[in-house]
This record gives sequence, C-alpha cells and structure tokens, in this order.
Amino acid sequence: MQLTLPQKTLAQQLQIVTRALPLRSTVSAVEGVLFSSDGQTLSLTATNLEMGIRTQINVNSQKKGQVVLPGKIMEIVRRLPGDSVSISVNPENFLTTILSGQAEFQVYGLNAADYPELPAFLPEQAKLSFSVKTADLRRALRQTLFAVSTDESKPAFTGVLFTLQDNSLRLVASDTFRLAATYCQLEEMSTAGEFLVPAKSLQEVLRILTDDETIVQAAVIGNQLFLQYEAINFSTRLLDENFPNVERVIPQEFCGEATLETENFLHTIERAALLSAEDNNIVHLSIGSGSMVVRASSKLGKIQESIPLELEGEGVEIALNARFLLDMLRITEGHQCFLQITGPNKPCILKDSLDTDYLYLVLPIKL
Amino acid sequence: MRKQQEPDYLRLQRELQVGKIRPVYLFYPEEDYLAEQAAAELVKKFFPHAEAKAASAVVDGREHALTEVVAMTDTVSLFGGSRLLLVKNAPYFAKGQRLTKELLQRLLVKNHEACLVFFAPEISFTAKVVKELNARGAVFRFEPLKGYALQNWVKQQLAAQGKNISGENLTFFVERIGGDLRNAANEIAKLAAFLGEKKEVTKESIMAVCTRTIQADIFALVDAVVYGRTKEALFFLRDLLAAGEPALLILAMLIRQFRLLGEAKELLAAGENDLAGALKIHPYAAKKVSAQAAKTSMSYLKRAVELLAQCELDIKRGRIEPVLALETLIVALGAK
Repeated sequence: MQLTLPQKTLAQQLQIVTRALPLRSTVSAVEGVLFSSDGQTLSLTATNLEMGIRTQINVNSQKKGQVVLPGKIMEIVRRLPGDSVSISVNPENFLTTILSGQAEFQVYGLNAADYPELPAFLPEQAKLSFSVKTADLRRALRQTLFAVSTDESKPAFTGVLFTLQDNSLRLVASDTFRLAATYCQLEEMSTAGEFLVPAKSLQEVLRILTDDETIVQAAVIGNQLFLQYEAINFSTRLLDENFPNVERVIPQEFCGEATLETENFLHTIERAALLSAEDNNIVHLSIGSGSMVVRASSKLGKIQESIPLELEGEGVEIALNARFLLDMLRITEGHQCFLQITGPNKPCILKDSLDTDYLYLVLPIKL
Repeated sequence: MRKQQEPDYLRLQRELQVGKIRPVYLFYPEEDYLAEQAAAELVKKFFPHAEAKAASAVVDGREHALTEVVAMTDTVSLFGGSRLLLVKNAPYFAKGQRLTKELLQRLLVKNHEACLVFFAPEISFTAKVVKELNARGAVFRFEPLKGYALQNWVKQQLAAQGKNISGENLTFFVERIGGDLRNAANEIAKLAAFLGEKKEVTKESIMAVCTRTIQADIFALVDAVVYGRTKEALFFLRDLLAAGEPALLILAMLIRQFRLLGEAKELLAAGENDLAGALKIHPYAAKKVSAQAAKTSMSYLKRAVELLAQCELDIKRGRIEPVLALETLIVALGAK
C-alpha cells in the first residue's frame, strides 16, 4: 500500500474510528486500526467486537493494500508536522513508513488477514430500517442516555429501547430510579418494531454525529444496528434482553401541575445540591400555591430557598434526588418546565415547555 | 466435645428457607463466591416474580456515601414493591470509619420492606455498629471452606444438579480441584454436563473432565518423585509447563512441598498427632505429606534441599535454562 493524503483529513477520520478501539483485547490486531486501500478509497476500521466504525477517504493511491497499525497511529498522525502524509507499507513484514514534512516514522504493522471481519451492511436483509436527521437523533440521545443504568446485573437497563411506529422513533431509558422517554420524527421508516441498543455504543454515536440536517440511514440486520452517516459506517451489537413494559408505570393522571422558570429551578437545585451532595443527594420540595420551598441539609449545614411557580391542582411534599433533577434541567431548552405531581411518595414527571413530547419520570424517596 | 458452629452460609440458607428476610445484612466475603451465591438466593427469595427483580440494584460502595445508599433503598420502586440494594466494596464498616448513632438507628429501624446488603471487604468487629448488627445476627462471615465443610458444599452443589458422589470420590474430586469455590462450581457444572442423565459421579468422570489445579499437580509430581517414579514425574512437569505454569512457580511449589515434608518428618518424630493443625494445611494435604514423609529418609531430604537450592541459584544466575534445570532436578531427585 502506498498513498498520500492531507494530514488534517486523516487525523479527523482517525479521531472518529478510534472511538471504537478497545482498551485491551485478547486479539492483538483488534487493538489497531485497519488501513485498507483499493486504489481510490482509503477505509479506516476499528472495532472492539461489540461496535465497529468504518470511515472512507478519497485518495490517490499509487498501490493498493492493507495493514493494521497500532491505536497509537491517531496520536502520531495528529502530531505530524506537514500538511500531507505519505504512507507506504512493506508487504513482506508490514513495516509502515509514514512521512510528513521532515518527520519520518517507521511503525510495525500487523497482517490485515488477522483482523476480524466487521458485520456486513446488506440493506436488502434489513429487518427494520429508518432515516432520521442527525440533529433530531442527537437531541433524543441527549435526552435519554443519562438515565441509563450502569448496573451490569440488570443488562436490559444498560440500553436504550428504540421503538419504531407511525413514522416516529421512541427512545426510552431507565435505571429504575428515573425514566426518560422521547420521540424523534423520522424521514422514513420500514415496518414497526423495537430493539435495545447498548448505551455505551450510543454515547459514541452522540459524539460522532453533528447537530445539522444531514440524514442518518439506519437498519437492523440480525442482531446488529447499522448507522450510515456521510462517509461513516457505524455498527453495534444489540442487547438480547427484554426491556420491561414501562408504559404502564407512566402516570396518566396528576393531582397537580406546577409551572416553573427553568433557569430559576435549575439554579436553586444547584445551590441545594452543594449541601446535599455531601450527604444523601436528597432535596425536599414543598410545592404550594404560588411558590415552592426547596430544602436540603448535610453535616455542612442547611439551605432553604423559595421559588415562584404557578400551580394547578394540589401541592405536595416530596423528596427527590438532586442529581436526577439536575441531569434533566441542564438539558432543558424551554425557558419553562412543568412538574406534574401524582401525590406524596409517588412518581413525578418533569417536562420541557419547548418539547412536551419529552417525558422525565423521577421516583421520590419515601418520606 | 465442642459443638461445631454452623457456617454462616448455611445459617442464611436456613433463614431464607423459612422466609426470614432481614432489613440489613452485613456480608464479610472472605470467600466471595459463597457470598455472591448467598446474595443471589436472597434476591430470588425477595423477588419471587422475575419482573420485580428490576427493583434490585448493585452499587459500588466506594462511589456512594452510606446515607446516599440508604436513600436509594428508600426510593419508591418503578414497578411497585420494595427495593433490594447490594452494596459491593462497602467501606463503611472498616476501622476508622465513623458511623453516627443517628445513622445506626436509621439502618436498624429503616423501613423493613426494603433490604440492604453490604459486602464489606474490611470490617472492624469492635465498632459499635458492627457489634449491634452482630448481636442481631445480621453479620454473615463467608470464610473459605476447608475439610468437611468444603466436601459438604461440593456434595450439596452436586445434589442440586441431581448427582450423587461417594465419600472416596468426593475426596478425590476436592483434592483434584482445590478449595477455590468459583473454580469448583465451574468443574461441577462441567461434570454434570458430562454425566448427562447418569446420576453417579465416578472417578473416571472426574478424571475425564475436571482440570487439576497446580496444587494437585504439584502433589502428584512430588508423589512421583518421592516414590521414585521419575518418568511419571517428568510427565507431570511437562503437563504443568504446557498448561502455562511458569518454571519458577513450579520450583517454588516444589521447594514448599519439600519444606513441608521436612517439617512433617520432624513433627511426626516428635510425636505430633495434629499434623494439619501444626503445619496449617488441609487435613487431606497433611495425610499425603505424612505418607510421603514415611517413605523418605532424613538424608534424602537434606540432599533434596541442596538440589533445590542449587537449582534455584542456577536459574536465577542464568547458568541454565529454567525448563532444563527443572528436568535435571527431577531426575536428580528421583535417584535415591
């Protein structure tokens, strides 16, 4: 393999694919990035065997070929001094020479034959498929991913449930202490269905996607979810677990609904959390007509603060985890938020005034 | 005769069988597999319906204050019912940790529907809160199983798989797989799968599927050396090396075994009856060492120690390649 390409382009693409690199693997080739050139296109591939990322760059390659270079290649390319990079591989021993400006690296490569084959994206075999704007998918992931569990003893809750129905995509995540559910308008979809995607993979999707109108093509083939976005091909294994039916635990009737200024509410909880974080993370909310009193205490002291609200229906005394409230309030875009109350020691729901389809259910601490 | 105390894992099993579930458990998991197994049984008993199991959670105690953990347990459950929280690496009961009287009260009188299980790698048994929990029977020590308790546990696990084992084969199995319960559980699963419909565990079935531990192999190696079966000893040595055991580790185990032999010979000569207690080894190992000691003379043991020391020196000074050094040593030890 012998090719020349702009240093910036290669560094950018390597930054994307190396997100799939494992920290350590029993297969040494998996710890590297597969460089594969067919003469016109250079493909970069990385995988941790759970998820894989492949990007493509148009190049003018003098000689085609393949090599696996160590994960460190990202750092090497990022620090190269020249505007362009020339890569040539000795096919006998895979010794790879990287030239840029006055710098010359010789990197020990591995045989590409030892690299595992990534699951193939064959759209005609897709069980389910859909397309969505990147900005919409990013918003939905931002709204749900933080509510996922990290508890490996309940694997179903370490994923986000995707449900395709009526040309929309519903995303649900829960760690059993709170639940986040949102919708995404789809550009197109095949049939209705649902699947569970590991949150770890979706965190990387969130980092790779940009907030714009570009369309992401998605398909479920076998036990893999494939996403195609510009020159990036992303694949992840799906979780083979049953996500419980959470729809029945989402309250449909409320005894009261408070409307609050988001910024006001956020800053008050942040202040209360300064003390509660030292202890049990609990903030007590006394919701009454016209105002809400927020109280928290720890060994450092106490705080009590009143904030104005508009209340329809009954108020309540409730204790919530401050961190859970902050997770949602920090991503709320509307200047108002709604707190729907179902009674003492019962779940409450937070909503964003700018996106009322987004629902965040928080379970209280028993008083 | 002093009545043998019931191991805590059996006490917990007995409590669960009669439906007794405590609000707080303090597990001291010296044998972590036993503690995990107990916790799994507790979860099963606490949540008879599979879906409700979502209300159980595992958290790392190093990442949460005790007050936060208590608040998590007291959080309303998503699917109704009560919560059960398993707190791994709970540091709250170690020496130097301060638990206030208020917190102790909260732990003990907290809502009895929820259940909190602490896995504490370090426990200060003189701490007031631990004493209080201990007095209520909420402290469970999961100690490594030895001798009869280990055999009893293996027998129980085999019975759970519908398999029977004779006393002799049970001893053979335990000798072969060692005292690590996680490893033992894997070997039992292998054995059950191998036997299929057959009920009786035979020596042949154990030999066919159960992997020997390095300890068991070293016993076999020393046995072969001491009884002059050099060819067999070399076979065991190659087996150990092929299994990836480092040559220096094998040498260290040989040195330990010959040191035990020397000590056993002296103790037996002095009329010691409890060899296992005096050498702090498993009764089965003591029985083996005792038989080997009877077969060896003191002059042979002295020469063996010299050969072992020389072998270690030669390897460490780089005079000889380690595998060749071990082979030479085995041949020399075999020449009586």
